[in-house]
Amino acid sequence: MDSTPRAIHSNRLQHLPIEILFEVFANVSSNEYPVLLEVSKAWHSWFADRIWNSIHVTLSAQRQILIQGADTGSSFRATTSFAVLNNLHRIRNLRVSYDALLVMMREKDVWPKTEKGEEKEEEGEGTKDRVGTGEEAHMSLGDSMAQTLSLVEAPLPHLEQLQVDFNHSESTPDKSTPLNLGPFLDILKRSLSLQSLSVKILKHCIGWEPECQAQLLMALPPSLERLTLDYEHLYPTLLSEQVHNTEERLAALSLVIEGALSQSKGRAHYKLKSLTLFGPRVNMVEDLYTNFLSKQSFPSLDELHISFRRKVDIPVPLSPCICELISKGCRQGWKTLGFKGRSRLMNSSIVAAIFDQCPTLENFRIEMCTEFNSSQVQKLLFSSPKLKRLDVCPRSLARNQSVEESLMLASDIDNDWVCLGLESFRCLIGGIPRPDVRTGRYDNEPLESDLHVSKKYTMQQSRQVQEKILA
Amino acid sequence: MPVTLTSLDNQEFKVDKEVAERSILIKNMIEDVGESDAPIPLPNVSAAVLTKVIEYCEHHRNDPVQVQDETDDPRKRSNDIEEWDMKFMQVDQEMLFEIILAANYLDIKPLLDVGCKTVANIIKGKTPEEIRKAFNIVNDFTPEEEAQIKKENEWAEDR
Repeated sequence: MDSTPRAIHSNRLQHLPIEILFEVFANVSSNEYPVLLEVSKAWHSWFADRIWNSIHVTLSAQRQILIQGADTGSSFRATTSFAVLNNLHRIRNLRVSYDALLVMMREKDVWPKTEKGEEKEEEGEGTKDRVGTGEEAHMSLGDSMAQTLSLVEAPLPHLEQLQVDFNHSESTPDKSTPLNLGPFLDILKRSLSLQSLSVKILKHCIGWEPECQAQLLMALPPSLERLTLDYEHLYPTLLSEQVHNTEERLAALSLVIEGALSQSKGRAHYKLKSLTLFGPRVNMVEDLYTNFLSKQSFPSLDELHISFRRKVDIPVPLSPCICELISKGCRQGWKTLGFKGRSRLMNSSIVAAIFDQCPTLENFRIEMCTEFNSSQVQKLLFSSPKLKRLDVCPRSLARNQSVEESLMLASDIDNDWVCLGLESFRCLIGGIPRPDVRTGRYDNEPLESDLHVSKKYTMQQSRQVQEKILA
Repeated sequence: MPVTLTSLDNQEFKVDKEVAERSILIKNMIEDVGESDAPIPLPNVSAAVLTKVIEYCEHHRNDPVQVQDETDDPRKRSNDIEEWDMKFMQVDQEMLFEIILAANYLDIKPLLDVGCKTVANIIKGKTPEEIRKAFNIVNDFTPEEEAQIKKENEWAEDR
């Protein structure tokens, strides 16, 4: 764009150095930025990047419906999508609901003709685009991607955070047809610096299958560091129905994935570091483990968070899946583990799997998990030589005075130990060496004779050990 | 001990060291050169502007030094301008920009901030056409381009 102003008169504002101009505009509230865009070409070129870069773009279906109800009507909806799509390459932080994205991608083509009634047509197309299972799905997915690519193929160099809420619903749900992820995968492919991706499956979304998850995992941009998969609201009946044909399905899926991976060796996910699962489902976890984690697809991955927000009982088959994820999902050992659940998340096998990770564990967070009791917290403290941070939010931590007192002790020993009060009971522990409960040794040296590390870690003993070591 | 400053048009200004050192540029110069009677040349600042800048520095000679961190985050800084500063800044646009440039050159951060806020206040609440008028900017969009940007902006404004 032409950035030299064709001013006839001496224009002193434009003569200010650009860094001073930005000083000036830093004092203008971002609400007024759109006005600045309209002033001149030079101003537009200065501000377009800045504006789109600085705002959190949220495009939701609900919002669109809301706007449609207003006087502005559907033309507003069209320009909305148009504006977002046109400036996609400038956006840093985008949250979008999937059907808004679908409509947006198609409207690129029809703008500005879009008028009322267009949406119905879109819906129709959507149904047609949705395709069969397995390899067939893969092929037609490629086709639909190619189609989308011809519309927009510019890279998205600024996109760093992306949240996509899958909200697509259909009047006649057919559970055998996975969603058409074309436009979504396309955005991933074009993203050069995406760092954080969050995928949320909403209650009304039908058709999010392990295939979709696999497509997503295969399409992750190399720059990605954090991935969140939120299945908390995934259509509940899928759970029970799909447990039956899981194995068959996974086998078929493995083949598809292997084929795809051998074709595209290029995309390495060396940066993916953190994985967060909300309300994980059996088939999804199995696929994740079997097809990706067990094959070392993400060599840098060392952070795992598992959360359940809702009060649901964890289905029996899920527990072994999670165990597998913890004990074998990270070959070099997890550095960060976090668990949150009102439900009965922790059973003895999961707890055992966690303790196996103690040698590498640096950060551990546990929230509202009834089965993780205070003696287990003690054991964890004792067996994790690298532990830097422990967050325990014990609203339902089994009541045991002694652990709380012994951890409270931390505050009067050294500044490195910070206990943020019993209320939240969050203990931040900085690099304190602890003896290994299994070997009774500290830093590979046997402890002095007057110190014994017994399995029962009393308050007095903890004070003794800590004082000895810190002195 | 007074310091002598020489403007672009060779006028000499005698000011207290304390006042002159409101300018980080001059402060550093004095530190580098050491005690000296030689006038400090300021070849980028005219006498008229330097008079204004000295007036500002005289008034603010006892202000505490600004902490850098607070000014870095635009959300944290207040948009309020002190009453004296506001009056001080009631000058024509040319002078306003000259003061800003001088404050930038002389490295007088508080004055630069006040100047930028003053310009920002001119922009605030204006339509694009009013902004163009205020700063003498030519609208170089074609009607099509303007229409497209307006359309894109409908969304942003509604936000």
